[in-house]
Amino acid sequence: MTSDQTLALEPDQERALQTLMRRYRGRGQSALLPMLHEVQAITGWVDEPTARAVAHTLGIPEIEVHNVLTFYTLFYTEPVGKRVIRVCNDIACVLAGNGELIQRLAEELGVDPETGGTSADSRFTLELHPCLGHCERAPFLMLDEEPMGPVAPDQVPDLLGGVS
Amino acid sequence: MSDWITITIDGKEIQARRGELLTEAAARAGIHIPVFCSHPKLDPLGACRMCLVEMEGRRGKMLVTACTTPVNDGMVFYYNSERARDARQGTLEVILANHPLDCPICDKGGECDLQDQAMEHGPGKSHYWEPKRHKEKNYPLSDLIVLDQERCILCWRCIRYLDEWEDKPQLGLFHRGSDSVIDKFPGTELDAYTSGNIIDLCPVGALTNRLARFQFRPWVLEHTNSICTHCGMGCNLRIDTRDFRVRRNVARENMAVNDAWICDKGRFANGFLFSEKRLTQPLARIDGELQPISWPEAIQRVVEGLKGVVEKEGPGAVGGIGSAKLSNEANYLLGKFMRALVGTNNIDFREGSALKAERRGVTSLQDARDADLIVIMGADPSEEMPVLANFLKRAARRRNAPVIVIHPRRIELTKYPGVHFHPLPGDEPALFDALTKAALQARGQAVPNWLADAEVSDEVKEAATLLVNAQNPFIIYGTDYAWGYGSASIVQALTNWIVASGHGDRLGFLHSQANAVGAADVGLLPDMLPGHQRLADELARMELEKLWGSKIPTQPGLGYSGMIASALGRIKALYIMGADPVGEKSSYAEKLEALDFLVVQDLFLTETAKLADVVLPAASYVESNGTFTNTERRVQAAAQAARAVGDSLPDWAILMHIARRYAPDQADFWRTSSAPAVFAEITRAVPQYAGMSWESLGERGQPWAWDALEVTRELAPYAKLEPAPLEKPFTFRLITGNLLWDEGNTFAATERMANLGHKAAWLHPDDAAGLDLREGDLIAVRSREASLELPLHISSRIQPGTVFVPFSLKDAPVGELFDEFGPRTTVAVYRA
Ligand code: SF4
Ligand code: SF4
Ligand code: FES
Ligand code: FES
Repeated sequence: MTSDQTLALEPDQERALQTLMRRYRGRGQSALLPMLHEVQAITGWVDEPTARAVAHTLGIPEIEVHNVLTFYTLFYTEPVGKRVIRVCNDIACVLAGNGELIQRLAEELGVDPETGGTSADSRFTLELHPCLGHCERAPFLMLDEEPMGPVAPDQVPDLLGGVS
Repeated sequence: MSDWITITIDGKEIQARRGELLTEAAARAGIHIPVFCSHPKLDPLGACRMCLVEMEGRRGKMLVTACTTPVNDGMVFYYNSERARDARQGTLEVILANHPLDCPICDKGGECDLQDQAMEHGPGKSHYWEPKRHKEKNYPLSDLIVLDQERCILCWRCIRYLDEWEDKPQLGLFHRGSDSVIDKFPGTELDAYTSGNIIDLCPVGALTNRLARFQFRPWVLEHTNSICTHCGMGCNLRIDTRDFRVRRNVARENMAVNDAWICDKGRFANGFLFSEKRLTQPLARIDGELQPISWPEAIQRVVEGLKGVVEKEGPGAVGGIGSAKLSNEANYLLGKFMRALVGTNNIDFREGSALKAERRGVTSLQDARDADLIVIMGADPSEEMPVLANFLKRAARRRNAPVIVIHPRRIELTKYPGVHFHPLPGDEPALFDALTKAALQARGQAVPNWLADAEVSDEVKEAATLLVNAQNPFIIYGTDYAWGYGSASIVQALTNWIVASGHGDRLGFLHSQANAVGAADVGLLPDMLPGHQRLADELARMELEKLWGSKIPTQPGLGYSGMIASALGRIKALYIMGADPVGEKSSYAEKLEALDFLVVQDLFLTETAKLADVVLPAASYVESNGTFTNTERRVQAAAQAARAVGDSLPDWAILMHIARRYAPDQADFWRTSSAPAVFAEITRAVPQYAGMSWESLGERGQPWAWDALEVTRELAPYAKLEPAPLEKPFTFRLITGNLLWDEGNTFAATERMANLGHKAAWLHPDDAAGLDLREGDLIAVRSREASLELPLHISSRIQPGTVFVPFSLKDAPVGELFDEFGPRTTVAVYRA
């Protein structure tokens, strides 16, 4: 569930994190969600030591941080690729033929189409999600925060290639 | 009272208190709305939906959770309506959908709320045929508790208890939906000191006692009301046995004492009962070796041995040492035997005459819960009395009571707002003088000359003002300040502050031993008679002589350490019951070896017992009846729950046999044949106990009144405290204290708990760095007297310049280090 791995941060990430921590010092429970979003924007995912640091910075129990981290699937407690592709796997998208899209994505990334996963070069993580709320654009996916759809399987190479 | 209102449930009008929860109001009317997450001791949450009822609202009837709905006049509810019943059935069906139903191997089966409610409110049949979800079934949260995530119904009780009562939020609810699980933060252990209470609270078999697991089915257990004797709180226990063997301890509610809680020592540390090492038969030294003998022979030897010494050297050559861990009955009879039959006042116990403590203990445990200010001096409730610590934490969090701590260590309670001082050993009187001066000034009273030089800092002023202005402060000091070298000065100094603040009558002492109050109540002191009457009080002596049928010597006797020290001199025979002086300080061995005759009565063959001429096997308190008086003077009965091990006998019975043989002509005064009967005699000897009886103690016990013993407290100058010299190489000040997880005889016998102990000497990070030492390094702590080797623990909880060695560490008894400065000596610290 939770990774034994820890983050390996670049010096500039480290600095950004420190600045962030200073900004949030002592701000308590209500600052937890915004802080975690900002942390993850820097680090990509949140490891145990960072979760602890967040708790100490805000002055709240460690357990609270872990509650929130595991409750929201948008937070990662395991390493993820630099970019996350969330493909909808709910009814409208299934009917619109998302199977081929997922198959193609999985092939290109070398991950299991049943479960998704992270590519060997850590550039992408593929995730299958319940309805993403854009059924009118089925089959639908989100590249990080960016909505895309309908997406045809043969658009996949461009999509992946066009990403830095 | 206007507080009473009328509500309607299922068409029936019932009286309720305004604002109480519907579950409570309904229960009073005999309607027991089923609950899972709701619990009377925890804040309402409304997480499980088991308690759904219909409520009449402006827009018709709606379903509400009864456990979170406060009632008001005229409210109308339907508990038995079809919709409400359906809703509850639905809740149960969803809970059961993924429940493993492994009742046949579940420790909770037979006392499980889920079983009961499935019977009462369940659908009987499930719509689900899909496979059940699988989660962790055998997931240890600690060495003591194991979690079965499949059985968990996510009621949050465990999470809430740890947060609301112990203020150690170590469990959480992770993930969501059907993936939700209870878990701890990754990589941590559940190490709260009262964690076992979540086992009692868990409505299902998700949390179980790892030490007691699979050893009983709840319905075959016999229940016996008892109390815990691991500390002076006297928490009420229910001991569950089968075939006269203890299977588990659970908490028993007593609102005046422990509420519904016990600490993990009280719950789990009962391995001493069935330890292989228990003494099972009397032993006597024959040809230099301890060898088994029969009881009649053993008693004969004790009688002859003691008589021989009395005839040769006089009664003053005999002494008796009892124990603050043993019952009133045992200590009373030892005192009576020594005074009435042997004819000596050489009687004491370790925390007896040496302790400069308020004999009455604390004003009351309820006061701790109602406090608007908490003052703790030289005590660490979290380690010494965890359940009391929880009450104090709640007062700090929920009543905003500031916490004033004066302690050599930064104890856990310093996490609450207030003022915290950490004077080095030797500096305490100066701090208390300053507080006294500030208190007098705050109240506009004259400052006596001898306090004129005291320096009042801002913090001192703040603390002093807090106490002067408090309405209902809970004020305690502890063993750290009341025992050993210099304690008379420190205790007078701290008393001065409390008196100067106008709260002299609230100053209490935290007796950390189960029966420290009782052992003194029954007179096991060299200069005091039962009932805290002075030995010199002729009237009191005469009363007692009538009761005992013998003269009582008038010459005050020797105390605990006096008797041991004189073992090389005028003391020739000792009777030691439940104490192990040699285990505490090995150099006592040569003294005790010099005795002509040594009797040791104990559960184990202790270091002291190994030197004895006769060793008498005692039954533990669980295996006999007895009363104990806790730190709020509450006399409580612990009834026999288990069969005694081997041929061991209760302490009181052993003494009774010996006395009858010792003085057959006095046998009339030694006829009592049960512990309750001994207690009846005690109530005649101890005025504060007058009117009590074994029966009247009942399930709640009976405290004797705070003012049943008059104590005068005055502002007074005191002898200056000369701290032990800091001179090379002895450059560290030693500090000692009790930790909950120690390695004492009764605790260490629970092998499964052995890992919990943390055997170490503590240094401040700066000092460790200065000595180039790292965590876990083996270090030597050496005094002028002796040296101990211990692993190092680095902690900023202690002050630079001090080294902390806890009491009761196996093979490293800190007592070895004590010289003429006792526990406040100075030591050298270096890499071993
Ligand atoms: S928790 Fe209760 S219902 Fe569940 S398996 Fe145990 S006894 Fe059965
Ligand atoms: S473990 Fe027990 S107390 Fe804790 S949430 Fe689950 S069912 Fe409730
Ligand atoms: S089903 Fe795919 S976005 Fe709604
Ligand atoms: S008991 Fe009311 S919601 Fe759980």
